[in-house]
Amino acid sequence: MNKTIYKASIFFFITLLCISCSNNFDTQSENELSRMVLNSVFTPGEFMTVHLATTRQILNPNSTFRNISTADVEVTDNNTSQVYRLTHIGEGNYQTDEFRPTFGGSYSVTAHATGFESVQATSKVPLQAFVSQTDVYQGEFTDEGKRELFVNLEFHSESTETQYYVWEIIGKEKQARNDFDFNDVGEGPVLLFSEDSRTESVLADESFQTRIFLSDDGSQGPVQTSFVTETDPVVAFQFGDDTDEDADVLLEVRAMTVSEDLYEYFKSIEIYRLRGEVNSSITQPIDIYSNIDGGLGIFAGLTSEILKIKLN
Amino acid sequence: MRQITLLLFILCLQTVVTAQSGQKPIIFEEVKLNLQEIISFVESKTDVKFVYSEDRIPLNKQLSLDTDSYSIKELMKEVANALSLDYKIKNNRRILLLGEKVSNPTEQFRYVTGLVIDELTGEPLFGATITNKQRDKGINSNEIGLFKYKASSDEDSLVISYIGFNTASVAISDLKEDSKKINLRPSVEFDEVLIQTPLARKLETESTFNYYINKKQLSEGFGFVGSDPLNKVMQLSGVQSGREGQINIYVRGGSPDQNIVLMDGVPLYETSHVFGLSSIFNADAIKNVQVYKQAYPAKFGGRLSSVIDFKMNEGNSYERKTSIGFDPLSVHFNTEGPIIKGKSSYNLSARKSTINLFYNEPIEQLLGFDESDFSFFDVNLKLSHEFAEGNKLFFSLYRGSDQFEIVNSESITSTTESLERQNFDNLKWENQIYSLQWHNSVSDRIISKLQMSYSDYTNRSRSAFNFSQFDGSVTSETELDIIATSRIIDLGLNADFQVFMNNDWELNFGTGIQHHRYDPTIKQSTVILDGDANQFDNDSKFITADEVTAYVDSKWKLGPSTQLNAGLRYNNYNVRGIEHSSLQPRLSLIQEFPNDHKLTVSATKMTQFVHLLVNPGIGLPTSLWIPSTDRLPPEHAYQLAAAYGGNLSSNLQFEIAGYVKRMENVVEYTSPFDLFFTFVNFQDIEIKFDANRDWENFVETGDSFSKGAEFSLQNRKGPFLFELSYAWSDTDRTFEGLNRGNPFPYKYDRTHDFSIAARHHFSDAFHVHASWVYGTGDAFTLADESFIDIDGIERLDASKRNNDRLNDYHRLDVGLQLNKYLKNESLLTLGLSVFNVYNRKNDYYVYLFEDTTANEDNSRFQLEEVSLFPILPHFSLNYEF
Repeated sequence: MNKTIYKASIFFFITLLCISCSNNFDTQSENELSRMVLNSVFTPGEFMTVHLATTRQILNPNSTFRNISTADVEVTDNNTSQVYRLTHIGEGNYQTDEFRPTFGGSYSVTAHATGFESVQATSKVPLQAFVSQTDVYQGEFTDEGKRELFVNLEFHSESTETQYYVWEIIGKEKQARNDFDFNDVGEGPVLLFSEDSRTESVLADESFQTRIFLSDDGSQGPVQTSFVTETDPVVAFQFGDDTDEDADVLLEVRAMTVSEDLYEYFKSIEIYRLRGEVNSSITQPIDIYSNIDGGLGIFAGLTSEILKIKLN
Repeated sequence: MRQITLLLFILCLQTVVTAQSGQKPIIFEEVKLNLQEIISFVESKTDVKFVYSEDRIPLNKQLSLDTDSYSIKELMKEVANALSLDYKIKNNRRILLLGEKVSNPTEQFRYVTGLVIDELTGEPLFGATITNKQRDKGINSNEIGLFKYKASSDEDSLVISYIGFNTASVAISDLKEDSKKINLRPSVEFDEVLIQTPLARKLETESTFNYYINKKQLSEGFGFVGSDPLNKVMQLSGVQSGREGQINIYVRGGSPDQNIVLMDGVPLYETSHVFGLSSIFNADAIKNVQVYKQAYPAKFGGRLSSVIDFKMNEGNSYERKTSIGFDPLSVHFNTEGPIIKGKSSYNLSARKSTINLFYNEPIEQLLGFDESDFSFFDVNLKLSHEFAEGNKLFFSLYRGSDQFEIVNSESITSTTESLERQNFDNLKWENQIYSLQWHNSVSDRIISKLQMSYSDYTNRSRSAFNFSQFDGSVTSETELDIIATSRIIDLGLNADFQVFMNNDWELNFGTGIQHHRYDPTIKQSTVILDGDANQFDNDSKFITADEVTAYVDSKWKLGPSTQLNAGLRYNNYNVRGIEHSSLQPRLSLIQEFPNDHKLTVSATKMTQFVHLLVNPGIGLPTSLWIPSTDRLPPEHAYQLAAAYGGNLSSNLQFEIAGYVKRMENVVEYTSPFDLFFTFVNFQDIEIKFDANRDWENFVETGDSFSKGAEFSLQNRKGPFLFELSYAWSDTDRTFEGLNRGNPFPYKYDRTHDFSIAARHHFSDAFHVHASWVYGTGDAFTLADESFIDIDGIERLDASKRNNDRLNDYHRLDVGLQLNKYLKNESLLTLGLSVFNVYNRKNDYYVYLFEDTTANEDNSRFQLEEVSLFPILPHFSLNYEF
């Protein structure tokens, strides 16, 4: 018995010596099926549009994004229990003209399509919160040629529930005072920073973000807050050296009141943007928030106002 | 006047005689005599006369005197004790031997104590087996070699055995209530007796399928850097090791922090030196190790998965020995010897790395680093003093420090994109422990152990990244600097008692208090900071916790082949004014069968009050230890296990085991800023960083369930020894906020884990060894799909958490050892080994990057793997004198 085991062991070890090594990595991930992506952000007074598309497998070069045009999509008004069927209007978009979402309304959506797991979601439209800009002033130029812009906002909401506010700068324009000649003065998203401790920093290092997030924990009365942004060098240059003294710079701030789902979704998008797309065995991919049960995407309501901040 | 003078003379004469009789010591020429010989000798040397009846006195009974010089009273006390004799001394001249004491009919037993030691070194032998002649009952010696035995009147001798030593037989009459030393001589002949030593031996009467590995077995090195005690532990079935650069241990679905690793009873928080090439356990300094993965005694607690209990060498108390050794990674030195011969001893071991002196450049070229600096050192010191047999004081010290620094850059270029990465990594960690232990045989039935300990662990890491990406039109650069600090200070006071009720019943109980201080911090900056990491220590307050423990544990022999172990452990943990308490029952039943087969069934609960937030993958100690808090509850594990094993033949021993284990409140770190993520920022910003103490907000707690089966086979006789072990396991975790609340594989779930280690002794001067390990690759999360969001931007997504696996890991190591005994009784040992013989490029980590082609709708993603250690030869030279 000893000799047999001895010989077998020698044979085993010699066999191992003959094994060649390999450098290629083949994934063992078994995800071969596309999932349904449902995206719908609805506002009061406007028709609700639901977009359906597929995911794609990134390791499969033959896998592509496709719009889903043959799904059964229904929306339920949870306040009235009325069910509305949405029809396909092209490029994966589904719509109905039988109703429009209202402030405070709660809605559920379901979508069934052959070859996909059915999806469903529920969300509501928050009550309108009126936003006003109470103050704006500019700081001094820094050595890098930048200039800080301080903006104070005030939100007014009658809701007793927790309200979720998100705001972002969606446009910058140079506007001539006289001839309405518009042209962009900078590219890329404008980054914001808030020193208000009630606002949420998606990463604890309080970095600049494209959106600011604030929830009021159900408190009534106006919520005052502020944010800071840096005017880019082009804009600063415009102020500093531009001889076009007749031009103003407009910043457009979109202030939104959103449902909690959309609030979490925007935060996860912000983390995704800050974190980047490193995809490795030593990092964890960012999970983008989704309230779509059985799929991906977002189904949520919001209200918004556009504030135009003039810098001159 | 004449009468008075005569009277005075007679009185003085009597006084002189009395003085001569009572005060002059009796010097024996031999100490092993029977009673008749003692009587004859005393009567020949003094004027004492013995009066006795021959049929009532055991004249032929052998005695072993403790010393060779006695007064009459001392002699009679010792003889009477040994033989249970009644006697009377009259006028210091007549000794009446009245016969054997009439004992209470119910007390036909007496308790004896013994101390089993190595005859050559004086070191106590833990786990020696003490049985009666019939070997139908037995006990083990404890960690200082002490044992208590209840001897019946019809028993006259005990058999003491220990692997690697000659068996000894001791007359019970030679043993007393206070301890007596029993010397065992190592078996020095190269024959089947010596090389019967198995690679790991189970305590023969422990019978719970836990493991005990003694010094000789620990010195049989299979590791890359020669003998490494922790490598021996990782060869056991059900004990899984980490991969390249990792020396973490995973036991039955548990994470690395769920193993309590002790050195002389003091818990350690880090057990590896740089890159996992070596553990902190110096083979010269370690005497033995016990490993428990089930049926834990109640005195152990604080972790969920295993107990690994290392004991340090006490040193040779008879003669001094020194050894020095050298290998390409380190120089090591060991010296041991007596302070007071036979009473006090010391053992001092030290290691210092030589990597940074000689091998930085070759390693940089081999592994592709631009710059590197690896260094470590450690020192072990143990002092022991024996006040009396069974009464010993120990002082233990360990200090170790590691420094690890690499600068690395990499370029990846495709037809339309290039990526450049530069990173700077610096790690420093330090361990220091101090321990004072007092072992005492308090009475004929009680042994006590009191211990004070202090431990200080500091880990500071820094990782700085610079990424530059050019996608054909735009170059974007990102920077990130992360500094993490973890410091833990523990103060402990423990008291343990071992009560020997009888040979079939042993009771253990104890209590302890521990004071912990935790200081975990992570800071980040989006630009690379100037200066050393310790410049950025902040003054954030640390967290303190106080812990009280108590336990009781009992072992009953219900019959000749059935044993029941039952225990209960209590922990009270107070942190930030919040108390966590836990009662942890421990139960195991052992049934013996013919041919040394045993079945063990056990049910245990373990509780853990500290958690490790793990740097996800690269195996360097850039992790944080955090205590349980009001928001982070303690972890609990409930395990049912069964094991069956025994001898297949005189050579082969096997074991089959199975378990199910449920764990509650396990933690996952969910912060978006793992220590190695990239940070994309489209605008330059000023230096800005802040301490992150909000780890509680980024930790998710959930449950884990693990099940598995283990098999091992070992050949323990003959010149060819081998041990084969295989484990199958399935471990998943469920967290409400992760993976949509669905279960997912645990990162370190290793479906298959296999190892085989073999050793062939061609002679006592030459042997070869080889080992092969195989394991399923670690699980990780790959973003394997993408979708278009509401803004029309493509986003990556992982369909499931831990949906992919690294390639299976396997490697072959071989080596040989040559021993040369020199004229002055010194020993020269040369070791040659090759790590990863067939140069397997095992995955260290993999990453995905996008190779955009002309077709924008069909972007190609590629998976690239990074490996660490190729084939690596190694040698070592050791000189012992």
